[in-house]
Amino acid sequence: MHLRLRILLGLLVLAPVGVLAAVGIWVAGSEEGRAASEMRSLLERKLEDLAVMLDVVDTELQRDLLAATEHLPSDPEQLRALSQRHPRLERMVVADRAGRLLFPPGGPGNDEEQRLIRDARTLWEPGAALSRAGERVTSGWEPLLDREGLGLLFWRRTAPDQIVAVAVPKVVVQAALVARLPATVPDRSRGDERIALFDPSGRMVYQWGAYTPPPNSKPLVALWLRPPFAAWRLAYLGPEPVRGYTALGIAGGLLALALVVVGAGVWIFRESTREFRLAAERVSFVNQVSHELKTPLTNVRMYAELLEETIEDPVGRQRLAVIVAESQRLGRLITNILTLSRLEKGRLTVQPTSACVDDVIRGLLEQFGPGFDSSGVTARFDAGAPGQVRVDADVLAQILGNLLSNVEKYAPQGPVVVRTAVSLPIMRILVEDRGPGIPASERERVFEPFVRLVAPSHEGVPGTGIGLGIARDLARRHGGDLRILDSDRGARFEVILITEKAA
Amino acid sequence: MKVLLAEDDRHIREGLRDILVAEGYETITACDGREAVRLYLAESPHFVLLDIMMPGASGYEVCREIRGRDPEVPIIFISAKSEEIDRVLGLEMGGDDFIVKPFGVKEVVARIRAVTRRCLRERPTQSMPFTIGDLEVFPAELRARRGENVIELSLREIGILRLLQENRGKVVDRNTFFNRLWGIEHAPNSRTLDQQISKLRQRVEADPANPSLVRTVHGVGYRYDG
Repeated sequence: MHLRLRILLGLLVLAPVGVLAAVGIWVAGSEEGRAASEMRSLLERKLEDLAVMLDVVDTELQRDLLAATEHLPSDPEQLRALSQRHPRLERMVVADRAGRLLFPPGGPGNDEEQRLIRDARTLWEPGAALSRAGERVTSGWEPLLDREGLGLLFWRRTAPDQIVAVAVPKVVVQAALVARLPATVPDRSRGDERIALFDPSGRMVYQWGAYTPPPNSKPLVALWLRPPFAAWRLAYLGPEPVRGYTALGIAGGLLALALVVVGAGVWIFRESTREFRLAAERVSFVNQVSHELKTPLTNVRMYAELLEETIEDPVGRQRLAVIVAESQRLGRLITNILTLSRLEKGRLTVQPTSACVDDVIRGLLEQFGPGFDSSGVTARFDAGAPGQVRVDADVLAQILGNLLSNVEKYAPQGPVVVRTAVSLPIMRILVEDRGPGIPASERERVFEPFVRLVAPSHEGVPGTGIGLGIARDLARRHGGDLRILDSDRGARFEVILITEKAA
Repeated sequence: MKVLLAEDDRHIREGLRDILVAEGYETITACDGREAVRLYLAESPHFVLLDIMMPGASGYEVCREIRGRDPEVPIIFISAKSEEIDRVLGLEMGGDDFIVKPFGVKEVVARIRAVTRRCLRERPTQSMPFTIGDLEVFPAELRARRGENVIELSLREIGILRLLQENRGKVVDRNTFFNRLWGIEHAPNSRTLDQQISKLRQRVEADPANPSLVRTVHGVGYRYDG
């Protein structure tokens, strides 16, 4: 097999597979990215839902504290009693608008109170929370850093000039949040996952879900809670989605496809080359046989012709003439077969040498003499090309041999006129008979290989249907053409050759 | 004129030899390539006919061998291989012409005569034109002319005419014909000579029924009276 053919077939198989692979990887990559993004937004939504759910903690805490501070007594002692009695009001500060401390009475006592008072003071300092909130807002939250971490400071205007601030420690916030979150008991029905709550200092304080993340694993998605718990966050810890699975699948699919395409390619190639090989073998066989026929045919023809010179008996000479004519016919047939094969292979070239066209035709007519005699054809030659020109005499003899052979077969019992005319560089040779002729509609078809016209007069006439096609091909190789001319009766063929005067 | 013919098929070889002998050539034959080279060296023929597909050494190899010694001697290839590449190769190897099987006698004769004309032109002493009766004979052309009429002749026919013309008025007996024109080894029978003369008369006599150039002397031979 030719290297170029191998490369071409390789490219034919590999190119589409390569393109598919590239497209597949791109699609897989984008698919994976899309899946990861979808997964992420799914998880974010999940955490969002939880965060929304935790909003209720804010409401509950505020409701409790609003209820507890609804009717505060103005007497400090009563306030102290209330503070000691009510767990939510354990750490409470009351002040007037000017910042004077109304409770605890007598100023800050222990450290805790001092810190509370200090933090609460930020509420009414110029530019602080209260002034930012404006007069119409009567309650709110502020961050509070106490001993346990970042808690909340609840404030409320209890009277036009009185503010109460209550510390809500971090543990209280944490307990309230955790109380709203799902139980830590593994619940397989919730899927294989793990979600955790992180406190403001970044410590995980609570987690739930059946999945156990490996140590030091990072959260896939995290979400800060909404105010007032904005320092708290929820995180989704896993499991991590399996990456590369899609790409792996596509790669596997493409590999399988490539194997199928390569397999099919190899199969088709072997089948097609088998056809080529068989065809080549057939052609080679026909060639070989044709060549092998030449030696016995040479002997038949040569000895018959030699015998003609020694036999004087007219009957014997007549019989010998049949042998000679038939061996010449067989020779033309073999030459045509080999020419057809060479034309198909593109290996036929004309080789002009110096020759006289009229002489070639005379020799040919002499050859056809006995055949014409027996089929009742009378030949006339109007010679008009006596000079030496550059022409491939073998090719010319083959073209005209095929035409005269047709005359012998299809136009018996009539005249044939061969006429030559030269006007360099054009050489015209006309072959005209009085046979059945060729219908105008068939004039192109008769040049096709193996086409023979069907007519009652042709029945039983031997032939292969390759002669005219070969004759025209040969004429064209000689720079000319073979044409069928209009005729009242019979067939008129015109051979045109492009030639030049021989040096 | 001596011709070497190398052809492995016996029948083709013998048929071609008969054609060559009838044409008037001294013919030596080889049935394979090696014998062809050997005979070429021993006999120095004037030209060579070489089959291409031969055992021993192919026609191409024989051609190369001959060309190594003599770049001039004409070589005609005979082959069943008519592919262009063979023709081109054969001519490039130094062949002068190609005879493609299946060939007819006339084609072979025409090609051999063409080569012979070339050889004779190069040996002018033996090929001077001469006249016999009203016929002008041009040995180098293998042609004769009567007025406008050009007649193709073989080497042998020219030999017969020359022999008669040289012995003008004298009878040339059969043995002289055989010795001078055929050589003792290849001497044909009398009938062959008579057939040859008969054919010659058909071509060169103005009236073959009443020959004036080649007259029969019964029981002896032939004579040209001038």
